[in-house]
Amino acid sequence: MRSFTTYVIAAIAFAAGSWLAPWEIVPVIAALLVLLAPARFTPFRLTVAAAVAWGGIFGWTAFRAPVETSALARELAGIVHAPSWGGGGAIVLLTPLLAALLAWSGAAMALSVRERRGRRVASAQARP
Amino acid sequence: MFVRLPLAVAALGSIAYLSIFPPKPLPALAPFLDPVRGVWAVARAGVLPENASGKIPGLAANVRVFYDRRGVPHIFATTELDAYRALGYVVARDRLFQLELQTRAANGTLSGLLGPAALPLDREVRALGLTRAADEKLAAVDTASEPWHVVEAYADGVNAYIDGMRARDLPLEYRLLGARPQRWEPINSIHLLNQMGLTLSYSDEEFRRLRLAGVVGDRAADALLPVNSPVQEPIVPNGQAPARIDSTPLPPPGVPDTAARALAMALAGITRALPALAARTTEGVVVGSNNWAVAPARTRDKYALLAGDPHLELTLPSIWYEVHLAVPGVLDEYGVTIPGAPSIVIGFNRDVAWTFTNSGADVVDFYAESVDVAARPTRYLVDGAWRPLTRRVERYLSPNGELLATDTVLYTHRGPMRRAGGRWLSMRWTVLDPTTVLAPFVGIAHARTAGAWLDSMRAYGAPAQNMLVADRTGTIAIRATGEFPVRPAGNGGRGDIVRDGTVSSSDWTGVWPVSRYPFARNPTQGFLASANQQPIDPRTDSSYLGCDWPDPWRAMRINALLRADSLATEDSMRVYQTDAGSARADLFAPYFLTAAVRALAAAPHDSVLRRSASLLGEWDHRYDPNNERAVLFELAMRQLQRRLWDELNAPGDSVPVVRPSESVVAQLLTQPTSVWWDDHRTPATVETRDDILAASLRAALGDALRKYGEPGDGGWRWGHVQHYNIYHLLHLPSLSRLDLPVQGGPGTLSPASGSGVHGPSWRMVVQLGPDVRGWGTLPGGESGNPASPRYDSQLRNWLSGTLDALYFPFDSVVLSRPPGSPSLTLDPAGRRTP
Repeated sequence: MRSFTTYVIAAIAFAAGSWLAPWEIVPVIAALLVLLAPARFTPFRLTVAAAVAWGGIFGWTAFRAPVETSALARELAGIVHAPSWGGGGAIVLLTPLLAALLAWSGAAMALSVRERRGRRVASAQARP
Repeated sequence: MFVRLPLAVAALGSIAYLSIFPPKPLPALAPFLDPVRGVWAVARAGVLPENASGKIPGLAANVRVFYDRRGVPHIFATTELDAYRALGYVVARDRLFQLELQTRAANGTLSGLLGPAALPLDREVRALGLTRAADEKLAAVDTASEPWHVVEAYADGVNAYIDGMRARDLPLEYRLLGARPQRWEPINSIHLLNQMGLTLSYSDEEFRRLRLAGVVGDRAADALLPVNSPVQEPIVPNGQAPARIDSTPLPPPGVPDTAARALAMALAGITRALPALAARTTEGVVVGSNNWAVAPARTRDKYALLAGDPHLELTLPSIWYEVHLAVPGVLDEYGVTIPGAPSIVIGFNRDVAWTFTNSGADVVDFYAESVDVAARPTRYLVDGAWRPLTRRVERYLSPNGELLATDTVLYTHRGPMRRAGGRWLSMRWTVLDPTTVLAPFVGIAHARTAGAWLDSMRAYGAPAQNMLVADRTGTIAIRATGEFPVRPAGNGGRGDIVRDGTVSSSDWTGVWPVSRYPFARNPTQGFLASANQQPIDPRTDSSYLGCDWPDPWRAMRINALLRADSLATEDSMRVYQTDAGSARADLFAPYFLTAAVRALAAAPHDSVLRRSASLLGEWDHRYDPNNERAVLFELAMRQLQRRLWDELNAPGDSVPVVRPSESVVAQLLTQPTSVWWDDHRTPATVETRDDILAASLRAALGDALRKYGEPGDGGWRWGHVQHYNIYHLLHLPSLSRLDLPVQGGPGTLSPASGSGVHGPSWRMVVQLGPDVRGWGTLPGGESGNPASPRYDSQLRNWLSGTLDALYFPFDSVVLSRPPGSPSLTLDPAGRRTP
């Protein structure tokens, strides 16, 4: 239950952040969450949550769009020379994948920084 | 754990790099896929909200805009200027990228948006003097005049939309290019009209004639590019039906004019960078149009009818934008505008309807100049005295502002001067003159009668148009309107020869007075029609107006249809607009068949010719999509042109330097033993007309079988052979609509030929009854957003030849709209919602 709540909170944070600010906000939110609660917001959970957030926004867009999103996806796939399999599915899939990669990068960097700092603090305390 | 950090840095760094420096032609990765501001937002912006609001500073009062079920905006304002402000706003809302792309194409700054690939186009436009002309026109504007206030109001509307636009509203094309929209300047409307001038009135008849004279001499060149169309079906009725075909013998090929040939070679390719001009020469595409009007006496309901369909390049979004402008007691006008033009161009109000076809008059002349230093001239010679050249430096910038190139364009008093093969040529062109174009369109909106409408158009300059008008009193009238140069009397006042620039007596001496314009009003025949043909029979007025006129096949067809229809209805008008019959085929096909009969009498065992003639004989001269014989005729015509004009091939080449019009071929058909029929590639034989026609028909069958298989297998279907291809403005295939079935062929009323990128860009029929009623359709839709249903919502009707009833409500109160249909409130200080 706690894990599910974590996913939900992170996904809401990513969705709200993306609504308010451009794509750069995703790794920033991921890093902040890791720095706030590393045990709870693991890179994996944040990766999944970011994908869900962007996928959700995309789904909402697709639901409200006046045309079939698959048709638009096909057109876009044609423009960016993306694989045409799945009726433009590749470019649709790329959207949450990109969010996932952005979140994982931000989270992984924050975690590494935090761990290094932790190690430095620990080694300083260990010194006589 | 040790690899996690480098991996994360690498991943984020890669994404950032691909988002800031995307490898062309890919868009910036993350901004593109951002689900809120990125490309998917285009889908959300595809639907107009039920109640949107916007802010336009300077509005006198709120403006309401209602979109009907076809997605057409109806603008209800309290002042005329507010209506034009709102027009700018709604056009920008639907067509922002098109506005900018068209402007950049017109002012030679495409490379600032599209990159160095567009540099040749920019250089060509500026070398033609279009940007300088726009500056001069702007300088000559009376900024206190009402028409200029309209231009500024329109610009205010466009800029109000840009200023209030949110990230998610950015059109897809900007996202793909990584660009932002520029603010709209009033001069852009002048640029746009210059661009229309380039599309519709630029011609290089002088060069075509030089090329011909260089091969067959002056006399033959004059006959092959005649000043008067050999097939006379003029716009101003001449009382003759059917068309009169000139049977004057064509002079034989003469001694090549070596001077003309040298000059022609020097000038080769001078304007080939411009796609519109290149298409004209390589495909024989003529940017044309149809319009006709029927007087009440010949209509079923006894009200005048008017129909028009301008033929232009087919694009998505369409070149036209449909709109209704209403200001109670002042303005009530419906029609189509070109994005960037602050007025309705073709349309109707409560009393008058109007439409245009291109006149094709010769309004460009070239002059061979003598300069002081051929390599870097500073002066040019006129009447024995040197005059200084005006220099204008043109700078071309890339999308990130880097200088791509610099040109110095030189000007004589006539216009821009260009160097070609060591020769310097200057050009005089009415489009470059500071003529009045915008003001008349503001004026005609208020016309209550055809006469008042024509009066408003007296000041119109360029590009010259055949302006057709009808009103509720039953008047129908047509006038070729625009600046027509008066040339020096020498050479018959012709404009198809390169003139001597060293004497001022070569210059134009003025323009025709309006009273001399070709004009017809309420003719006894009860109808008027134009299809770009020569406007007036030279037996009536032999003054030089142009040369090598477009073939009158469409005019002949529509005149025949209207002559046979004494109870015309709006529906018959609609049917005629996509009529698949062909006056061209009616003229040529019998000659092929007669020639085949004669050839078979001499050689009865020629089974190929027998079969080909039999197949052609089955043809009904129509270009319906399922027709399986039109293709044979087209191939036969192609073979005929190839075999007939062998004399025009440059030495060592198999392609004519210039291909004369089919009207000249029709003239030659009356001369069966003309030397032109002889194929010089067969020196042992002297061919006659029938020999060439029979050989062409025979060869056409071989071509057809090779390309399309056996007749009856489906490959010969006209819809399989010829298509319309409507490209997106950036030629992105996935946003284009390609390989569309066609009803019509070369020379039919809804023409289709070549690569199928030209065609009827707007079809309209108006009935001038007690309540004016209109019908129309576009080859696309109102929106430039590919994710919008309004992007191509009218395309199906356009393809099927169906017209929508145009909704023309008297006021916003009676405006009936389906529940949930979009509306927009514009106010001077409102908060913007989508």
